[in-house]
This record gives sequence, structure tokens and C-alpha cells, in this order.
Amino acid sequence: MAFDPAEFPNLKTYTPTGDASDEYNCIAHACGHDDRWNWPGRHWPKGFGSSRSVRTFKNFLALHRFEQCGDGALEEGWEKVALYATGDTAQHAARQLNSGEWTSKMGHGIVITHPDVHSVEGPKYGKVVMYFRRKRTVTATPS
Amino acid sequence: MALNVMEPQGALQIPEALLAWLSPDAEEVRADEAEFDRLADQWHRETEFTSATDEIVCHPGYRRIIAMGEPAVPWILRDLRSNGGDWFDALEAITGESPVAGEDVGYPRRMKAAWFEWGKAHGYEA
Repeated sequence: MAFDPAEFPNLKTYTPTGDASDEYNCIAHACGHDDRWNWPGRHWPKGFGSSRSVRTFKNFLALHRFEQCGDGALEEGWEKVALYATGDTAQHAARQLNSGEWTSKMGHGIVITHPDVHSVEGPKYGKVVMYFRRKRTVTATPS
Repeated sequence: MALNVMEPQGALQIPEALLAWLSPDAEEVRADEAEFDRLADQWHRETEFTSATDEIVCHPGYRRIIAMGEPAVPWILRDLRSNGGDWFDALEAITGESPVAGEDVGYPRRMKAAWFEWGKAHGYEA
């Protein structure tokens, strides 16, 4: 299915960087995995329940060594993730690349790189509600 | 001489309407399959950009497909093979089976493999 940027009214500039896939989703991609669907009811930690609250996703990211931080500014040595939500309902996550751009796996769709973290905000994903960071490692996350 | 309507001989052509009348069940199945294709296409389009499994499996078209019951199983397996997508809850709901090993839940490639294996063992071609 072709990617239709009209679904994302703020997405003015983007680069497709990965094929559509039903084998991983945004939160898995944000954590550096391309073989799992991280969501309540799928690949999800035991005891985390089925809530899609921002707090639940904050706890999930903490399992992957992400700590909350203040913004999405590029910081040397740190890998950042932005969590998007509508109200308190988590909708999407994007990961910052070494370049300062952001990479998003669009549901079952393609992977895109977008310069502005806010450009996938809108009716589908809501707004960025929280930023997280973890130390970059040599083996880190594929770009 | 008895007339075999399923295998017309020579130039004898059986009108399609007569064939449909002779096999109303097949016609009904074709209509149901066309409805499945329409609902599945709508479901793929309207859930393409979400990661939210709960939204994906609560989509109205998805629920209507579950309500189709067992006849939809081969169509779901076909769509799973050609288009992918999270058909796992629908297959479980319809068949009452859970062929995916606990440690494989959340790994779509393994989940698909388990369902294709199940389909093969139960006589479904996908």
C-alpha cells in the first residue's frame, strides 16, 4: 500500500528509508528492534497490563534504558525517543538519529526519516508528550 | 443421454444464470468472499498507520469478518500471506485455537508461520 503523506498534514519533508512491514512497529523501531510488535497484547512485558497510558509506555521505555529528558535537542552521546499521544493515550514513538533527524515506523507502513520531530503530529498520532534518552552504545540501534 | 451440466460437451454452452441457479451455495460463497475482500481492504487502509493492536482488532470491518465465522478462515490465511497484517485475533476468535507458542507472541513472522502450519494441518490452502 502506497504511503499517503496527506494522512499527516504537518509532514512537509520526509524520506522513505524502509519498506512497509507488519513485522515490527513504531515502539519496537524506537527501541532498535525490527522483529517484534511491541504493544499491549503482543510483545509486552508481563505485568504491564493492557493500558496505553503515557505512564505505561514510560515504564516500557525504562526497561530499554530510556530515561525521561526535557527535549528533543541533539545531545552528543545520547539517543533520544519522542513519545506521541492523544490525551493520555500513547499513539506513536520516533527515534532520533545521529544526524538529529528522526526515524518513524508508520504502523504497518513504511519507515521514514523526518527532520522535524513535530512533523508527524496531527490527528493520527497526537502530539509529542514526552522525550526520553539513553546512552548510545557502539552496538546501537541501526539507523 | 444424461446431460452433465458441469462439463458441457462440444458446443453446448450452459447460461451462467442457469449454473448459478443450479449451485446457489457457490454463488453465495462468492458473494461472501467478495464482501471479505472489501472489508479486508478497508481494514488494511484504515489501520495502516497505527501500531495500536487494540484499535486494529476492534476495527468494525475486522469484527464483521470475525462474525463471518469458519468460511472466512481460508480467506484470512490467504490475505495474511499476501498482505500481512494482524489477523491473529480473528483466527483465534473464529477457530478457538491458539497455535502460537507463548514465547512467539508478538513476533509476527513466527505467529504467521504457526498459523500457516495450523492451516496446512487443517486442510486450508493459503
